[in-house]
Parts: sequence; structure tokens; C-alpha cells
Amino acid sequence: MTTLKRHWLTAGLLMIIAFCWGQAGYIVAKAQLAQYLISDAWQQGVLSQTPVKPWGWADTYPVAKLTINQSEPLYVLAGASNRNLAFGPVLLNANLDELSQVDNTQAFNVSIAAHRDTHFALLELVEYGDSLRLDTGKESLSFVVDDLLIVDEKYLSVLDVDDKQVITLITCYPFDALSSTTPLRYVVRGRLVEKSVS
Amino acid sequence: MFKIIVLGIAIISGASVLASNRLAEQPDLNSVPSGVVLGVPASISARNPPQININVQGSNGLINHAPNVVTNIFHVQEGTLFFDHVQADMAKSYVPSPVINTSVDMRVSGVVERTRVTQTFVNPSSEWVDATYVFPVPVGAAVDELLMTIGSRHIEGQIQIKEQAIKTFNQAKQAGKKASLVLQKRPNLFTNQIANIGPNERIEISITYQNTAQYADGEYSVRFPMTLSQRYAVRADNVADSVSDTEAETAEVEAIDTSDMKQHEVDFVLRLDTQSNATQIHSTTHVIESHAIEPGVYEVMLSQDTIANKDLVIKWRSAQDNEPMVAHYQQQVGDAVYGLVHIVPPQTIPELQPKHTIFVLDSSGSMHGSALTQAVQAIRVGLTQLNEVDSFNIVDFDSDARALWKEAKLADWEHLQEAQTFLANVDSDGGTNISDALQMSLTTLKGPDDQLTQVIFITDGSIDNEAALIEQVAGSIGQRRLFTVGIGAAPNAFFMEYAAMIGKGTFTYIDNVDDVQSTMTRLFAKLIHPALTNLQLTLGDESRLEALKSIEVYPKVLPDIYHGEPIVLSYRYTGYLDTMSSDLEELLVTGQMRVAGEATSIQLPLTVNLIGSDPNSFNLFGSDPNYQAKGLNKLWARAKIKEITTWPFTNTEYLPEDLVSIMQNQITETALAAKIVSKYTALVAVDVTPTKPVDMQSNAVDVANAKAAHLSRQHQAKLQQGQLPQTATPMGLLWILGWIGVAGLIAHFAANGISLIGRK
Repeated sequence: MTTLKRHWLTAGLLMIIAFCWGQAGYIVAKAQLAQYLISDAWQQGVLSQTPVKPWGWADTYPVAKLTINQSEPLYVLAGASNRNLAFGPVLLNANLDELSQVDNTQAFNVSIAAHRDTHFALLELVEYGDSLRLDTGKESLSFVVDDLLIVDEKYLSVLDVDDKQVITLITCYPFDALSSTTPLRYVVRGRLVEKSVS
Repeated sequence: MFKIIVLGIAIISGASVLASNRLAEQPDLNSVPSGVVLGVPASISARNPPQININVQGSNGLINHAPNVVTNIFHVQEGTLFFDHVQADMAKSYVPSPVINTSVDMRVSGVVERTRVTQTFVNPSSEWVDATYVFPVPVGAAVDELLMTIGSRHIEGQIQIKEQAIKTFNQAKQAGKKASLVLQKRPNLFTNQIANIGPNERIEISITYQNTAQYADGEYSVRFPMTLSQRYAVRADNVADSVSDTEAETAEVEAIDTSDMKQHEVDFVLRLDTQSNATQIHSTTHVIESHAIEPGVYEVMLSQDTIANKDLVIKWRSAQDNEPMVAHYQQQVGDAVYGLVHIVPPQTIPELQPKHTIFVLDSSGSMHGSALTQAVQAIRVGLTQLNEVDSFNIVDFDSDARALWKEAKLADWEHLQEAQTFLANVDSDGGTNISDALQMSLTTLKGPDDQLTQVIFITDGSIDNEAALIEQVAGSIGQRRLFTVGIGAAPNAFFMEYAAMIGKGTFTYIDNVDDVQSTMTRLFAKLIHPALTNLQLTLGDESRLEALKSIEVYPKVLPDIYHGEPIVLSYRYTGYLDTMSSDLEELLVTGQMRVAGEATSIQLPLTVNLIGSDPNSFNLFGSDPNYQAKGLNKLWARAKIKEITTWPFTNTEYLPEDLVSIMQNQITETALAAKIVSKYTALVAVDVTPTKPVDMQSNAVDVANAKAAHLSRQHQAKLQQGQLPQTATPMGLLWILGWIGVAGLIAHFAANGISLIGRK
């Protein structure tokens, strides 16, 4: 092997490492940093009671604060698009404004999705009886986890509102898979136990 | 087959439960062989710790729903298997159903369907029981009758405002009276609660609903959801939802004698009046027998006793010519006339006409990634569907809108190439300014105006000013037609559906990239053959028929009729039917058909079938007094309520903050007038004599429906089509590839020495 070739090989391998880890780091950094900016937007939004975009060109705004057990709060974004998923968990179907109007008997289902590698990586550790708290700016809702399931991506029934007041957290499954396209989803279902004005 | 799967799963679950360390601490559980889990679920559950719910049958549709659900619910956190999906209260255990028999009496005349479902509830236990039964009905059906029969006494249900009905029911329940309450949970899912069924007592509950037969590909069809009651649960005490109660309750659960357990059977009779001697009847789901009982009237039954586990679909076909076929029914209710018009386009495929297509592509930031790829692919497929005589244009929008050309061009090779280049350069970024794109595609862009202009609007619809946009569509649609195509994991289907409705087009959802080709081809196959456009229901001589001015027609915006797709209109006007004279000729349905390139106005013949007023013409239920013909007012009310639910998107009249209460009032009023169950009204029946000793405690039995969730998907799917969002990043893969790179580097250095400078 000539010296030249050897240098090229070294440089090539270094570039591959830099690219791969760089990309991975970028994903993590984007996910983490965005949450800081979003948390500021959330504070402003709560104060002004209007949606505040986390950065000027953003296509979204935070709609709720989600706390899973004692972990750092996550800021849930409006608009379920792939782009938004890179920045934080996204709200899938419920209109949170309606939540403040529902009485104690009216069923609802707040569905939130996030990436299994970043924001919702911690779902893997969630167990029955764990607590989930959702702060909508107007109200604070406490849920207790009462169901953990794995479903196919087509199984939209997890988004259904049946006769209960629930929260549904969705992420990809399995957690440690290499492929970024998996047909399975991990679902954490929580039941409302307490509601208070925040 | 189903049974085998269930058995298999039960055995696996049983075995796993035994194997789990957590449960090994429960001494008596170890002695329970897995097979018993199937046979005597109640006794097992009574001994289980409250956290374990083994739903032997049904599993809320997860098992039954095989094509979409590849795996059951297992999470191997602590070696435990979980099967139940709905389990907010953790103290449920399972007992056999108190329902033993269902009989269905369905009558169809023309396209009007009336179905009565009678169920016998038997309480096999020695306890007083309250039951809740969840029953699906076809989407669009109006539930309007509840009849409770105890021994020889019949109690008819009253329609009431929901809160009031619940109160009435609860009072009766407290007082130890038998009572039944029917509530609408979703447009196609109802619950029936029955209070105070005594030990070994039998109660018969009949529920009746009104519906219309479906039409597709030259065939009419009716569907009866037979997925009734496969999963049952009992609980010892009052329904309490907090976790803390559960352990205390569990201890008190008493096993109910299961020796009486019977399979749930369904008797089904359909009386079908097609007024045609050449009707062919068949079922795609069950083995049926049919025979003519009089000319044009048929009786259809199931060939063998059927266990309720699959929806029953019965289809029929009568001879049809090439004219548009119109069925028109009228009925007098009080001081108003109700009517139903059903229009089926001719079966022959009309000749092809040149048409003008404008594709609109949403390339805003929210479409980033696979959504944009799908959207571009959808347009590419659309382009291949154009003929050389057709003309087209493309609009691409994000923060602003750009058209490919100022004027539509013919779809020849050269222009198609130009379009492909345009598509190749589309990038997703910026905001979602739908307004400009609508303005451009619906008004400013020029094209051959004598041709039918179809705007194909492809977006994920992530916008926040829905009402204003709907208004814009309504104001500028003119002679053009708007077809929305939804893309992405969770498109704003509400907006797109209503925009298409206002724009007299349809909404299509594309599930994933693999479906782009087939879905777009299907859409275009339909668009090529508009059968009737500019449909209108009008009045002839207004001066002569003052009453007809009060006419209310639903849907308000009449859609175009495409080849193979019928439409149903419901109307009401204040006045009286005069069966002697022919007042009804004042009512005209007109439309436009294209004959040899020219738009030709045609008037559809409205031959009237009367319901209820003439026993010989169209009496749905013959001489049976309990089955007096009624229905068109229910169908009209149903159509009106459906229209009211679109108000959040179409409202320009009321203040947004008032809208919710106005809608509630309107729906309540309409439903009460027509005596149908709705979101805000309910049916309640109460027996006058208390039968249960007041100091005794009733057990609550949830007779939930195994496939309710699955069925309701059909409705929900309209709102939330597609799939759960893809929520994985390639991070893991990148990480590993990086390490492989490191490994390669190390190997390389090991082989050649660490020398970055190199040797001469």
C-alpha cells in the first residue's frame, strides 16, 4: 500500500466517523436546544395567553408542557409533522382548548407522539402506576399510567376517544432498533386522576 | 380459526403468567392450569391481583383485527403479559354475558332501511345486576325507538335531553325500578344501560334505527354490525374509577355460575321490497337464503344459526338502464312534508371530454421529508393520467404561490417535460399560505373556461385559519371544482373534507408512498367521468306553492354526481301532501350532462313514492301497528345534524364564542323534534313498579363489545386516516456506523502503524 493510498483511507474513515457522529449529534442537539427555545416561547405564551412561535420562521408553537414522572418537562408542539417531531413531542388530535371546557364525565383522549431516540426515549422506563402531568397553560392534568401496549402503525384506535379521560403517548418501537422505519408503535396510556387550574 | 388463535394466546399468556416472578409470589395462582383461563375466567380473575387483566376473548379488537395488528400487547418489563386494552378500572374480571339472544328484523323498501334489534338479557346469577351493552350501528343511522319488555309488560322509551334522561334513569335505578337508557357515544356507536335485572330474570330490549341502503358498482347493500358482545366484565361494587378502591373491591368479586353459558346467537330476517321481479340477492359475508314472498318483495334469512362475530352484508342488484335513476320518497309528518331523493348515475360510461386540471402542491415546511416526496409523486402520477387534448397547470406554494405557467397548456410531451423539471426543483420550506394558492387556482389562472376545471389540491392542511379559507373557497369556486388530497401522517382531514364539500369535489387520503399510484389512478378514473354537474333542487312555480318556499335541503351544497357514485338528498317543507293532485311536480331536480361536448341541462324525473299515507304504495311495515312507517323525518334530521356539525368550518353567521351553544341547541331541537338519539339527546325507558328491594346492591356488568373499537374505526378513519406518525430517527444507525468507522481506523492503524505524516 502506498503512502498516498494510506492517507486517503485514513482521511476517508475519519470523514465517515465525523459524518455519522455529526449527524447523530445534530439530531440530539436539535432536539435538546429546540426545547430550550420552546420553553421560553411557552413561558411567554402562558403569560400572554396567545400562541408564541419559538423562533421567527417556526411553523409551530408549544401547546402544552408534559412531565413524565420526575424528569425534565417536555414542551409539546402543535402540528404533527416530521419537521416538528425533530424539535419536540407533537400533539396528534385533541384540541386542548376544549379540555378546559369538558366536565368530569366527558371523555377525551390527548394523543402525543415523539421520537423514540430523543424526547420519548424515556418511555421505555415508564411503568404501570407512573405519573404523567400535562400543563395546558390553563390547567394542570395529572394522569396515572394504566396501560402499556405495542401496536401496529395502522392501529389508529389508540387515538379514539372512548368513554374515558385519557392521555396517549406514542413512540416508535422497538426502542433500540437501528432502522428508522418500523411498523410498530409503543403506546403509553394514562388515565386522568386529577385536574386543577394552573 | 379465531378460537384457535384465542386459545393459543390464552395458553401463552397463562404460561407466561405462571413463569413470571412477580406472580410467583401469589401462591394460589401457581396451581391454576392455563387451560382454565379460558373456561372459567371469572374465578381466575377473582384470585388475580388487580393489575392483571387477561382478556380472553376479543381483546378489544386487537386479536380480531389481525390484518393491522401484528402483535399483541406485551411489554416484557417484569415478565408479565397484558392483553386488555380498555382497563381504566383495574378490578374488572370476566363473566359470561347476560345476553343470550339477538334477533334482527330489517325491512328495506327501495333505499329506505328500518332495522329493529331485539336482545334478550338473562341474568344467570343469583345477584341483582346492572348491565351496559355497547352496540354499533351503521354510520349515518338514526336510532329512534327503545322498547323494554318484561314478561308481558311493554315500556316504550321516551326521547329526552341527555342530562334529563340520565337523571331519569339514575332515579329509577336508585328506586329499584327496571330502566333502560340509550346514549350515543359516537355517530355509529351507542350504549344501552339496563338497571336492576333480577336473579335469573329475563328482559327483552328492542332498539330500532332508520338508515339508507348503500349503493356501489351497480349494487345496493345493507350492513348489519354483528360483532356483538364478546367480552364481558363484572365488578362487585359501584362503578368507581380511582385506583385506591380497586384492591378492596377485588376481594369481593364473586364468581358467577358459568354452567349456563351459551353462545351468543343471532336470528336475522330481512324483508326486501325492490319492486322488481329480477332482483339478485347475495351476501359476501354469510350464507343466506332468499325467496320471493310476493312480486318484487323478498325475504332473506341466514342459512344457519350464526354466532355474532362478523358484520353481515347483503347486496342486491336490479336491472337498470342507461338513464340516471332517481328514487323519490315523501312522507307527511305533522304539518310538514319530508322527502328523500336518491340519484344513481347511468351505468354506461359517458364519452371522454377534454378537461382542464390544475395541480396545487403544498411545499411548506410542514411537508418536509416524505410528505413532499409523496405529494410530488402524486402529481407525477396525475400527469400520466392526462390525455393530449387535456390542458393543465401546476401551482407550488409555501409562503407565497408560484404557477408553472400563466395560462394552462395542453398536456403534450413538451409541456409534460417542463412540468417534470418544475417538480424536480420544488423544495419544502417557509410558511403555509394556502389563501394565495386558492386565489390563483380558483380564479386568476387562465384556462379553457368552456371545459370542466378540476383543481387537485395536495397538502397536509396544517393551517390555523380554516374558517376564512372555507369562506374563500365558497366565494371563489365558481364553475371550478376542488378536490383535496391529504398527505402525511396526520393531515387536517376536517379542513380538507369540508373544503372539498364546499368546492363540490371529494377528499382523498394517501396513506403512504406505496399507495400514491393506486390512489391517484382511482381518483382520476373518477374525475374523467363526471356524470351530472351543477345539480339543483328547485321549485317550479313559487307563487302557487307558498309552502315550498320553506324548503330545507341537506346537504346544502349539492355535490356533482360521478360515474358509479350515487347521492342522497333529504328535504323538508311546511305543508301538506295532496296525493290526489300532483303538487310534487313543482319540485324539480335539474343537472347538467355533457352531450357531444356541449353542456346540456337535463331535468330528472321525480317519480314519487309515498311513505305512510298510502298503504298500497309504500308502507314500510305493513299492518304491524308497532312498526308504523316512519323514517324520512329521521333521515332528514340526521342529515341536518350532520350539516350542523360542519359549522365550525363553515360558520360566518354567528360569533365563534356563541357557536358551540348554538350548535348544541340546534342539534337538540332537531333531534327532539324527530325523536332520534343524538349527541345531546337520549332514549330512556322506566318500569313503573320497583322490583328490586332497595337495600340490595346491584352488580354492574359491562357488556362491552369486542369489536366496538374496530368498528368505530370506520368512522374515525374518516377523521384520522393513515397511520401513527413515524417517530424514529436514524440516530442508532449513525452511531453504529460511526463506531464501524472507528473500528476500521483502528484496524487500519494496526496494520500500517500510526503515521499520519507517512513515510517516504
